[in-house]
Amino acid sequence: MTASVSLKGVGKRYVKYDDIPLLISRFRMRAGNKRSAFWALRDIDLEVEPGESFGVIGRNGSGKSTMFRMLAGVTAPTEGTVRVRGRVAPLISVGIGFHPELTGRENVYVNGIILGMTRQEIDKRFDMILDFAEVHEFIDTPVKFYSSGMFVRLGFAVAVAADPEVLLVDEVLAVGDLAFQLRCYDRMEEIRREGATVLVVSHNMNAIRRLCQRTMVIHDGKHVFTGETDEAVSLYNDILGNLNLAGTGEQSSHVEILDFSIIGARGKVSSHVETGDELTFRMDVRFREASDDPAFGFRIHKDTGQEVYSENTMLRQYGPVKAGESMRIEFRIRAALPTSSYIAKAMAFNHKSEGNLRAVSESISFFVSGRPFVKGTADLAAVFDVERLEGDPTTGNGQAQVPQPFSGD
Amino acid sequence: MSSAVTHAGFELEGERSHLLPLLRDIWDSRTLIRTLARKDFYVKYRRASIGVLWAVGLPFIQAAVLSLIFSKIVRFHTVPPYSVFVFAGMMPWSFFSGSINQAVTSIVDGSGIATKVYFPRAVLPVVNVLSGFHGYVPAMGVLVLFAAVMHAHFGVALLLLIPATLLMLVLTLGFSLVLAAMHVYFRDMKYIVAAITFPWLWASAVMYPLRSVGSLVRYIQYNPVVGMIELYRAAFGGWHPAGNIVPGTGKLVLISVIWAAALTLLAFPLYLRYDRVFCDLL
Repeated sequence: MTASVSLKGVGKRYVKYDDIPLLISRFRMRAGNKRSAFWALRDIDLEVEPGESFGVIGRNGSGKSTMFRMLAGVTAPTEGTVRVRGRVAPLISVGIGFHPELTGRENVYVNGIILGMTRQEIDKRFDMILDFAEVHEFIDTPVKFYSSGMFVRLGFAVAVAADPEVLLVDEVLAVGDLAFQLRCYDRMEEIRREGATVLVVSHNMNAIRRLCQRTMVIHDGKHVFTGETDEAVSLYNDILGNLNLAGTGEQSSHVEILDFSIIGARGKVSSHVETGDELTFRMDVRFREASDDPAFGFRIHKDTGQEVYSENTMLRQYGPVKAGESMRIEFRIRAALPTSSYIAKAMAFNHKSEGNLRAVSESISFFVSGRPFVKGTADLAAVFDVERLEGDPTTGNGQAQVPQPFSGD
Repeated sequence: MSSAVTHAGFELEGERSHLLPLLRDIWDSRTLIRTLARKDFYVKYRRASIGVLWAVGLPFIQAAVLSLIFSKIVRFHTVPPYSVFVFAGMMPWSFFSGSINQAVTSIVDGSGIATKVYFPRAVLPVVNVLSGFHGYVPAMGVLVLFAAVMHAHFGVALLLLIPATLLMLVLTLGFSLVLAAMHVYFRDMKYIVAAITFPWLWASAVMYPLRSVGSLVRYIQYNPVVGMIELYRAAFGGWHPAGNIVPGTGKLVLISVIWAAALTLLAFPLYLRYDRVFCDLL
């Protein structure tokens, strides 16, 4: 029994009070109205060893936060056992208990003690906290004058200084600038190597893949999968894909989509690609009725629903096809995409016909791990030409050479 | 010395807490309680230019106004002198009523921290009471000085301030713990407490001696703060042979003590049951 975090058959039931004032609804509950109780989490088993980093992913409302609340000890399970060894530091929201009127220094002490440090421990680590947060000259200024970046840095610095044996990270890295985020990653990695357990909840699959050795997927309060992070992420993407954007597709009496899949860089079916990989989407269709002018389309969304790309083959002649005939269509693209989860769909239709003649495939999701620091909808793979200017820039002698954007390499 | 509740980890099985671990957690939270109480008190007066003086000034001003008005309208003959008499009653009353009015929302207001880090929830109302106590101590000093200036007869009786203060603390704590827990479930609690504060003041023999209410004493004596207030008065010379201590003062104090004990005992099952699940309703 060396696990530092263990959940056994854990379930949590909440009672919904709806919009009725609490006092009244309590009495109504007594009256036998038990319908509004629901399980936010059920039958969860988990063991995480010291020195391990573990991710938990799932959609909003899947029970992740409930699980983290139990791991932080702020709420108790309705059934099962939660066991945590050692000091827990929640990074659920940094700067908890920071009071705007108090100075940075005062807040460090108050927050440190809330996190379970002693005064002496804080004294000892004070310089380390300052160095990490980089707020030296403002440490005796009330934090209400801090920028949000400084606030977050100081909060994070205190939390990691608490020398936690179990670190709970909940979306905290969505804040702060990139340089700071990278430093946080490094610091968490360091803490983990020193033997702490790191648990991460995030919707950012890149963060999960970067931080976690193992990952659990939960859906609707139930355990779906625990294991390799990559596998967990694609499973999560599947769940997402199945639920998002009418994922089940549309049937048509004219044409049937038999299969729709992604073939990755190495020629195998895969939902994991890297930016720049050659990607093939393959669709097999069978025509139930003859068509003079069949067409095929293909669309990629971000998991947020934003369309990234779509195109179809209208006005190109692939027909006519006879009833019962089958076709294989491949859409080949280069994945010029930044890191994100994406959802792809394919369509087959006869654009000259009227009515419900279009079939839409089931959604499939895939994950692109992109190059660092690339954001946006597409990775345009900019070429950076940087040169040092000769002479005094103010005289206008050494004008910067504007790089030609599409000169290529 | 460990201040960390979560220091050694924890094991949770079922929503109910167990007595010994909960008591140990509360004991381990003493640094946290002290720190938060000091922070609360400090933050409250930080922006005010005369700062902490308000903590002393407010009950003093209230008592001054009351004694001025009452000495014009009804002339109560009291020992100690009427102004000291009112002030001695007003001090514990304003501590008590101020504390419970703030403490009632303490668990709900603390949700920012409480939903993220575990510490026994009882810490929050305790912090509230302790934070108010920071202002009580200097105010008490001023009261003693004032009483001396007004020639109140007190001597050894002043030592009664110690049990009086203890009684006030436990009584306030008992009410605070129970009300704060109830407020999580019934959010009307805060308004109920605010609504009864004013009539409660009038039913608490702060401005009038008990003997002036005649047979009403029969009801007023069960008011939990009356015994406490009478004990404060006794400390300021009410014990004096000429004092206006009613024969039954001992009984009044006993009623207060019973209230304090009963509420504290009631707090135990409440916090054992709900300590780990308050958070679900915040």
